[in-house]
Amino acid sequence: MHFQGSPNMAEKRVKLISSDNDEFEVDEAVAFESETLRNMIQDTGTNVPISIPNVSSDILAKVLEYCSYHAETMETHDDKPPITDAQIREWDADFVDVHPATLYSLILAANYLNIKNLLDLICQAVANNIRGKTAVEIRKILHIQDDFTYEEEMEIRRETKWAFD
Amino acid sequence: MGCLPDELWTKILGLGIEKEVLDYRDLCSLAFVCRRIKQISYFDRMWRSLWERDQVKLSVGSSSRNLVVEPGMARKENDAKAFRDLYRIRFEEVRAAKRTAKRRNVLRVKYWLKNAYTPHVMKTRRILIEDDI
Repeated sequence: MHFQGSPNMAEKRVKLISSDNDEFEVDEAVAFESETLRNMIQDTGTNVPISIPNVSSDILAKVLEYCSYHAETMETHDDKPPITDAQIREWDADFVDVHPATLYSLILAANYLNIKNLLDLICQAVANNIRGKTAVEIRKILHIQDDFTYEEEMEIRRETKWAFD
Repeated sequence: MGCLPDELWTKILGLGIEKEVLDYRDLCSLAFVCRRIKQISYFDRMWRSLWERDQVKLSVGSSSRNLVVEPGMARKENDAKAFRDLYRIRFEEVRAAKRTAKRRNVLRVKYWLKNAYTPHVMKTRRILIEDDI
């Protein structure tokens, strides 16, 4: 799979290998969106493919889609009008409009690859999913098991009663 | 999602508060989800940022005049061991004061409706209107 950064500039390309052994090739600028990859590339150069053992290819593709879009927004083209902040926000909102299971894998990948803006974006998306929901709904959305005893639940009920009166 | 590392849950809740996505009730709902998330939703620094963020909402007299707060409030707040207690105490005080003020306004309106068309009020009105001319 190829992600184009800027077609005009002859840039260094970086090879990335996902946990299921798919190979991705991106511009260095795209990989540099990730603090982890930046450090690795600065250590080993771009000749060696970088393996990312804990990110699967579908998630890595999604992460690289984010990185290449955001690397592109930093560039200025003479023939195209610059991308506005509103357009970026809209793009970001679409990007995180995915199933919670995908958000879950994305958040781990963004954390491992240390892509601060992506991590913030997903964390906020999860917070948005939680907003205004009951505990039962949150558990259902995020596939979390209830591990409280009856007594513990009663205690929380007492402690939080004020908020639900 | 439950098995996300604590640091990421902390980030989700922290950002949620900062960006005004989550409020006190969301933090309380989260406490019921599971043990680990309860612990994070009870973190003192979560409630501290919520407390700091909601100062306007939690200040008496911001949204309604004539709010009277119980004299014990300051003492109770001093006794609070954590920001969660502090938030709850202030929240309950402000809510009680608002409810009292609302009740008083309802009474005032009821009184007015009851008396508005009695001969006495009609006469007073007429005098006021004639004076105006």
